[in-house]
Amino acid sequence: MIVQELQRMQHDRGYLSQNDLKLLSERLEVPLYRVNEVVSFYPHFRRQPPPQVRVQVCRDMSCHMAGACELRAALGKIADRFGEQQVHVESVSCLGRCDRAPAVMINERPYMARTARQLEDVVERCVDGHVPEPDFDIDHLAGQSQEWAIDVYRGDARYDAVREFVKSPEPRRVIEALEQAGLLGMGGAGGRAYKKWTDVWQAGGAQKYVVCNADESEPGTFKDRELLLRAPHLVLEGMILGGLVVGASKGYVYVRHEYPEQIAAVDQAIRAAERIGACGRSIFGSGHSFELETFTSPGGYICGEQTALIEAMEDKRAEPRNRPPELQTNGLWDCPTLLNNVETFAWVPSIVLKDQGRWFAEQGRESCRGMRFFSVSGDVRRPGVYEVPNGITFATLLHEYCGGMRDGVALKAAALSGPSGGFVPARIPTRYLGRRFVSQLPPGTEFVELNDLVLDIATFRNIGLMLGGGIVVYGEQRDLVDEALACLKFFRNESCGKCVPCRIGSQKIVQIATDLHERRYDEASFESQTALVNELTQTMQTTSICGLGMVAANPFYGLLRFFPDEVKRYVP
Amino acid sequence: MGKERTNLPDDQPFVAIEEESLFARDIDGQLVRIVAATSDDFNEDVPITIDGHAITVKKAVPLKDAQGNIVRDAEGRAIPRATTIYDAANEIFIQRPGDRNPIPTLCHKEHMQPAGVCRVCVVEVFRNDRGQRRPGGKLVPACHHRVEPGMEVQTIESANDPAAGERVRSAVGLLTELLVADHLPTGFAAEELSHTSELAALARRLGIESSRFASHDKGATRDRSSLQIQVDHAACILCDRCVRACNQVKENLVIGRNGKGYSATIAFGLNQPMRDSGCVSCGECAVSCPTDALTFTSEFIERQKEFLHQDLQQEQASAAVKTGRKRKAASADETDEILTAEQLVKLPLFSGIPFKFFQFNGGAVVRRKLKAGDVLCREGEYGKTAFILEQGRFEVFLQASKNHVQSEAAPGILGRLGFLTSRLVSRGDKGETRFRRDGGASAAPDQRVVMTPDDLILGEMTCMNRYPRSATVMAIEDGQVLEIRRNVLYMLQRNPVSREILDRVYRERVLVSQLRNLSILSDLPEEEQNACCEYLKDKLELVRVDPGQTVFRQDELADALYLVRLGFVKVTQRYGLDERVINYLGPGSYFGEIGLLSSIPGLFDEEDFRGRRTASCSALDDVELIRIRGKDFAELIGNFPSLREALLKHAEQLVERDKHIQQKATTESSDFLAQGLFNANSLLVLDLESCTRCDECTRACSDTHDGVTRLIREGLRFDKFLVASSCRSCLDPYCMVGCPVDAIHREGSLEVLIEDHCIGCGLCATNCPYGNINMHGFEESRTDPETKRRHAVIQQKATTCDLCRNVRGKEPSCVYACPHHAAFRMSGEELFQIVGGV
Repeated sequence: MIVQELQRMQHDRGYLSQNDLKLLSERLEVPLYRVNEVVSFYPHFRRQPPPQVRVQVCRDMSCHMAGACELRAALGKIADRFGEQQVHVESVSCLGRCDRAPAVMINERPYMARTARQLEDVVERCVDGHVPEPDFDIDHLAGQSQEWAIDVYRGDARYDAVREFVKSPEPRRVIEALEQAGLLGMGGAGGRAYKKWTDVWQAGGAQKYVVCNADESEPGTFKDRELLLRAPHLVLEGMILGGLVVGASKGYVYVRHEYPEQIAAVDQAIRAAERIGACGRSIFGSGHSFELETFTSPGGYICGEQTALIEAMEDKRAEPRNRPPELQTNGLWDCPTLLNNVETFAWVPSIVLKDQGRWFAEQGRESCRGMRFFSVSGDVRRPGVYEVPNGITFATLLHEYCGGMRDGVALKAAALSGPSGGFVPARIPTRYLGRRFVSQLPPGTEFVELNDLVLDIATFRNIGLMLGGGIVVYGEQRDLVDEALACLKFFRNESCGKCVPCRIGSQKIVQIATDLHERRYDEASFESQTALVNELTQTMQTTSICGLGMVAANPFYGLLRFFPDEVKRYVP
Repeated sequence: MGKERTNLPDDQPFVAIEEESLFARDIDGQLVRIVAATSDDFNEDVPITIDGHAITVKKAVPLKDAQGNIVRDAEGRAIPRATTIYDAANEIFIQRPGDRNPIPTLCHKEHMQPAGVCRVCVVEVFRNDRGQRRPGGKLVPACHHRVEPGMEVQTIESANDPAAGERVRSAVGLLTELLVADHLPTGFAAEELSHTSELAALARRLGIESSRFASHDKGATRDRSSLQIQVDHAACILCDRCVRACNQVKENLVIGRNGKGYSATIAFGLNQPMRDSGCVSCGECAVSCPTDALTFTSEFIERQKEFLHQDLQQEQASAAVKTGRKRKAASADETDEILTAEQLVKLPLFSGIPFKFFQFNGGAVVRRKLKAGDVLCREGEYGKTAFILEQGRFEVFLQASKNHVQSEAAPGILGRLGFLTSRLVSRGDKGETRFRRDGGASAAPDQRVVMTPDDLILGEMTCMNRYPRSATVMAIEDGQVLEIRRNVLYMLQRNPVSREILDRVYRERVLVSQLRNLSILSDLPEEEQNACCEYLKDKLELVRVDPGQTVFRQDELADALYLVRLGFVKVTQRYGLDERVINYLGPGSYFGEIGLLSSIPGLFDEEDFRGRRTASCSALDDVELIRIRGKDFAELIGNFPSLREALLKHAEQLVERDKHIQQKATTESSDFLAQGLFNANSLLVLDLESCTRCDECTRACSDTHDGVTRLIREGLRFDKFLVASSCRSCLDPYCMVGCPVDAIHREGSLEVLIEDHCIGCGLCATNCPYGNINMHGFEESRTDPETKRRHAVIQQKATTCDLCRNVRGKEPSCVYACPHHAAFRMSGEELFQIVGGV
């Protein structure tokens, strides 16, 4: 209850005073240090009275490219004019609106893709007590034209898959459909969904939970934002089916607090589902029950790490757990927990309803199975969320869906898994790629084109690169040392600080990259730093507790490997 | 930069975020649910290899508290905890003090729940199943990872797989460099720091003289608000040891982690200055800290040293006056010396004790030089120290058995229940005091016991169980011992190896000495007694039982006979829905024989309960029992018919008596029991018929003790008597358990003393179940180490009744001052007799 109580208190008063915390500690009978541990961990909680106008400028990837640094500096000048009490400007981690960069929140309302001049105007009007019309996600949605195959009901929340299940409950049939479909976890790791469902289904224990990870915080990734807004009923149906299959009676949708419209949409969809009997007590008149509820994240990228997310739900600091055990057996409150990403749950209804998963499997191109969503941003003409068949090439995504490069610039690189996988160059030297992949190329092939890469998780495992849901495209004009430094800072800022390799390693790598950026190395000293970065990358990969620490050095490591000429420009 | 840059490992693609860990599934591919270990796991074998050494460990080990004591549930069963790789490595590599586990640790200590955050304990694991050796990819933390069958572990020192060893070493080395860069001063000298800083010691072990990473000034601050402990956040590696020390070991609930990521720190309460938080300055955090982030202030260290020096000087002065012979002013090499913290950590037996602990205690170890004929300790004294024998030979005398101690029937309820107590008539200046003998060291009057450094330690029983000394020890040649205080002994127990040694010594001594005193043998002629002893020699077991814990339950199958060595056992029987107390058994008595006797056909015909327990027995306080197993007992009485007859007769009497008592058990006795009065040596009892509530007693107490009263005229009533709140000088005082600086103890006589070097942590006040210890702020003058100016501070200290030890006259002031002769001091038993108990 600590997290929710703090959110409520902050909502009522605008901030949390020392006295508030003492009273809370007494009321909940938890020691002060526990309250402090939680309050100080989450950036969402404020210990000081808020300024009249609070401006948050996103600083990551697409926004960084769109001039977030300059924007922050420009807005900082207004703040100086009014004083900290009235206007406070700060940089924040990815707000999940990379398609309309630069993203800015003013008093927790979104203002997207506006110029410094326009934003100054907004701030001034806010100081005068007005609320200028924000750029809501829902309005942006209205401009979308792609029809989604995922929505079998074309907008109606019919819950047919749930209806069918409660008529003849056969968990094995649902799991077989998932297996047939070849659905993978869409949160990043890409594990086989049917396996996870089977694990939780077979885990012992009377109490089980279903949790939907809607804490989409990876820079460059915003597909869940649209899915939650456009088709929340699919996510809920996937969760309800999950609950019925594994034997859980309670489900939570864990949403980042920067998605207020999505939280409202999900809440509304839950109430609608309850009204027609699709969830809650006695689903469609059967003996089955499954309650759903949203859980607003107190903030931070690390909460997207599945065990950290569970810790946050248990009122603790979102610090990832040492594994094993896995959540499938020891999840929320130590009960077996089915935790999937928004998109993973959202695919379940169409998979179950359409030919036992065969329809889904057949959607893939080449030898790939199924479909998926990509969020694409950066130097492309039409950034946005696209539902695509698995197995299309990068070129297809870039040209057919996103309208090609913006302003006709040439493709330099792409980040294919937000900042986690580093930048992949337009021409990739094969000597750095996985042997299994290279052995299938004609002998003597020195380079493969990024454009020709097949966007498929299994293929990428063989290549030795990471493929996530967020793709950021970099044109020829971009300075990748500068961009990589921004990515490294993101990981440093978002590290929870629990384990040493990530807490200190992520800072040291920022320090080295900063020194490079400021041209402090000569050739000899940079040589030794390169060796050190390689060692550090490896140690962070092998000894960090969670995925964040494992990938935190990748942007720099990739830069040294794939862009030696870019780096060279900074070494006098 | 260019193409020649081939030192990038080519075959290392970017790692994908792993789906699950190597041992997440069992060999059938089934995901393993990690459940709390069960007691079955104590018996389940797990074969693993570490660096090529094969070992089979149990799947679980008993959970232990910070003191190394096994934690038990209400039924007395040990609570299991899953065995980790680190535990297994301990078993392989650590045999004696000073041995080293090859796996380094910073955030882990045996007495804490693993956190797995510093990662320097990482090892490489391989999984052998169906003849296949599968590598794990990631390194795993040995402190946290459970052992699994077929696990192959390679540590930092692996010789049988040098490549794996090198991978681990390079990772651990780099982690250490990361920590060194930020948390040790640049140009640090590992040798100097390695006493207090485990990080410096690790850097030294790995040969890291400086870090390749640049340090980063976080602008971290110091917190010097506390009088005892200072915080240097720059040195803090966030290992979480202080957090667990504060919240789990001491349950003070003050320290936590604050903030997030690189700027995270430790914090007190709501991130307050230490002094303004709920911190009680118990020192546990600083003692637990592996770096210089939490250290004792130099003025505090000086203050503790000063107290100890004063003690020693006083003692030497008074000894010189008393004996005229013992410890006269002597030449320099003959005087006793206080060992410094630096000297102490070099002694192998103390190698597991943190350096800061010795600082905290002002070097609480004194090296005593003894001449032949010097007395080390005297029988009947309440000692607060134990002796580690370094040189010389020492003779153990049971002086008392020759002159002062007479065995007689114990008075009161205990006497009626038919056991003996020993009484020592001490000729001290405080009149007659009754002691109960520990019975630790006992021997036949004509037996000579000589001890040498091979015996390692002497006097530890008094230290551990808080009973008076059982023997007098004298040096029979010139020698040298280390005198250690109880808290040092406690600290020794934390270290698993020294703990094992101490336990073994203790058990052997107790069992050997106990043989002679077995009360079941007391009616036998001496010849048969000796024969019985010979038979039982290797068959006794020492069992410790925690307060409230059940030894056995009514109707259970009888499998052993128990003799009470220390503490009190409550015997209860069920009558319908009621559970009635039918007996209390103290030291020297035995129980459990009825169930055993009746299990032997034809011996003892009681159809009602054949072979089963007729009552439930549970511990009232910390109890030590000697157990004789059922089959050994059956053989014993088979071999010795006269013993059988004696026991049978006694058993029949007991059964008769139980039937009689059934009707008589009173409620008053349960109050008496609940309040622990049976354990009281010196109650302040007010006769409410004479008492006019004039409060002279309280005033007199306050006048005697610097204006702070140590008694409160409130409490339980028995008949016309009020038992006031004032220290009762318990037989087995709970208050003394765990004092981090050993400021509370008995010295020579009955009263509980709190010395001036008390740090005011309040543990004794919390421990006292009767609320008889209170915390008060006293003004003290301190010198600021920076400005050198003296200033007044308020130092919290614990106070309790000391029976006016330092006041002339026979009686404590409260009794003396009462104008109506309504105040008395008496023992629990005496009161019980007066008000007419069972």
